[in-house]
Amino acid sequence: METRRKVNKQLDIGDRRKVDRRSGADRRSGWDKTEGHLLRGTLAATASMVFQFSRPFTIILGYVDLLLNRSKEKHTKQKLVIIKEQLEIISEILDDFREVDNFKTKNFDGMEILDTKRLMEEEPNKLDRKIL
Amino acid sequence: MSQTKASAKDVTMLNMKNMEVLLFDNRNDQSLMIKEMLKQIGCRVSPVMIKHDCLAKLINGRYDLVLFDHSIPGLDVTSFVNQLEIIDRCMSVAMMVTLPSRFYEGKYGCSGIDYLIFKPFGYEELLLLVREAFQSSLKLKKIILNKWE
Repeated sequence: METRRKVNKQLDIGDRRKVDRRSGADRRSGWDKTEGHLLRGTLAATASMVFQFSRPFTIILGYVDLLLNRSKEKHTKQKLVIIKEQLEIISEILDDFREVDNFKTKNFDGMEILDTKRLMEEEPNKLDRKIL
Repeated sequence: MSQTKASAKDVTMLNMKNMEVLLFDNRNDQSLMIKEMLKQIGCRVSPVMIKHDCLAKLINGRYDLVLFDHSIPGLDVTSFVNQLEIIDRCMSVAMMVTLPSRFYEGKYGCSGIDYLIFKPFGYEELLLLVREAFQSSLKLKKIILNKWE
């Protein structure tokens, strides 16, 4: 009987978690505060990721460029071009993470992931992005 | 006067090959790569790993560009840039950064940092920075020389 009560209690807690756990003050201020917390967490996570990746990634990109400029062998050059193209894709992804300024998610096969895609008109040109 | 004219001529004859870059980075792996890229661009590079060496080099020599990393532990960027400005106002100052641009605009917008270069960057971005810095440094030198004349 007691075990059953415990199970019921756990279910209750579980249900409550699903519904709404905001404090009274938060409820009165609406959803803005929660959104603000989510955005702050997202900004911290994206900035941390960009920061941690930047140095090793700069070194790899730099050496690929140096090898590309020096290499005379056609096949090596082709492969280096492919590596550089892929590195540029990662670089653009990091740029998207760097410029995140709102909390927006998108559905990826039933999982909510951060939507970092910006509108076309918001995208800075190459010069603005690299040197201010 | 003749000395000033000779200096002005020297300045106009300057090209990218003569550009002196002081590279301040506490990480050897990154510094080595950037040094190699700058050499390929045609600059003369002096790498330093500590602030004291950086300031000592600036006092004893002439540089067109100082390139330093924002993530050097314990470096007070504002005070460091102020010291750079006191030593040489004509020199361009560039900082390697990683965080969103809004962070730097708010914090260092009024400091003497002329350029921000966002990591990760490659040869093209560095070349663009060096070219811009060189032109800016050249303009400032010309203005100062004209004032003397």
